Amino acid sequence: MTIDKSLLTGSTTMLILKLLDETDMYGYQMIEELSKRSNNAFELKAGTLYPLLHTLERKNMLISYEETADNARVRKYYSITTNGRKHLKEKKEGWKAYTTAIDDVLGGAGFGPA
Amino acid sequence: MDQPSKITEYLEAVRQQIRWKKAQSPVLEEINNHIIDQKNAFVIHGLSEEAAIDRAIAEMGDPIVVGGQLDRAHRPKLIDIGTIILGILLVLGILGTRNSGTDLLRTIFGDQIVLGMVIPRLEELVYLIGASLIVFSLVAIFVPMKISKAVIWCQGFILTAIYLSEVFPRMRFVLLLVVVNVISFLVVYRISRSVKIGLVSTVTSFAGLFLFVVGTQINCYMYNNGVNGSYGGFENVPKALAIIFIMYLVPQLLMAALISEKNSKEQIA
Repeated sequence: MTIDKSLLTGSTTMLILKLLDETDMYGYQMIEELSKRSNNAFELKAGTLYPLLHTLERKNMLISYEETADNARVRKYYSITTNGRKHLKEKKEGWKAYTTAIDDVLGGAGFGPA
Repeated sequence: MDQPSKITEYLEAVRQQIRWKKAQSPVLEEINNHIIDQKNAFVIHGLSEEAAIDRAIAEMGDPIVVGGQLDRAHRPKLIDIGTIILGILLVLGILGTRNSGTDLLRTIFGDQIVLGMVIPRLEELVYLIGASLIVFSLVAIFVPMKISKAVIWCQGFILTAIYLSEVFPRMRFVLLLVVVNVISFLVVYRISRSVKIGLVSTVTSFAGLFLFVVGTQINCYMYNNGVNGSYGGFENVPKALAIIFIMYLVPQLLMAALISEKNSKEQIA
């Protein structure tokens, strides 16, 4: 199986879709959640997140809606679409194939003796 | 410099990078919210208000870079521009052929386009398709995203209505009402932000029209009875109601379903 070349750059997309697959969130919440779950390994920058979210929305993988939060501020929540779920599934499969391949090389012959 | 204006300054720098005007304000509002959320979190962690704002802005990254990335995410789609050109070509093509009196389209396509099906009023149809392509694309580019879908639907109904009224002149009356009704639905919906309230105008006007049709038929029945001594007059009611229902209620309900599907998350959350 061939590995998608955009795998590494696309992994942020996968993580975002995964978060939204569970529940609807707004941008700040995603950054918090991602950092919490990865034990601060993934410090996603807001400057990266929003362009990505907007691109995904235009590709119909996400939809957004507004909701008034405390003190009348309007928050923009994102929600995954069927299209987005499909994309997530593909990304996950690609990722699995990639990590399996890496493991095979690292754990295979030639790895031990070094 | 006081603190809120630091945020404003940052947002302004981002704004300047986003060329598509339509996209600017929703994007900036979102960024603004993010900075405030981030600042509040820093304040909770013990930073002073001023330091928290500085950190929050620093966390966002260089406004020029961020704005540039947002600019790339928000551009009028090429397809919108393409459809405008196609639309203009169709409209011009029809105007040209009609003025010169030669029926270019019939020469190209013939009267029977699909499997021997004759399409009535072919020139008007192609003209309307051209016009609608232009309108839809302009809406997609310039109308705020929140209502652009509803506006496109609305335009679609109106253009379909115009074509149908060309083909079936008798339907014009009902079609005119459809247009008025769709517009009133949208206006009420925009103001009240509630599909249910928006549909109130639809339901009441449908009820009004229903009574109107029944009333005329009762009048007809009484007139026939009194003058001619014969009974009759209700035979057209089912047909009239069916037309009204299809042309009048279905588009509204579709639109309402579309909007409420889009907003369903909002109601659940």
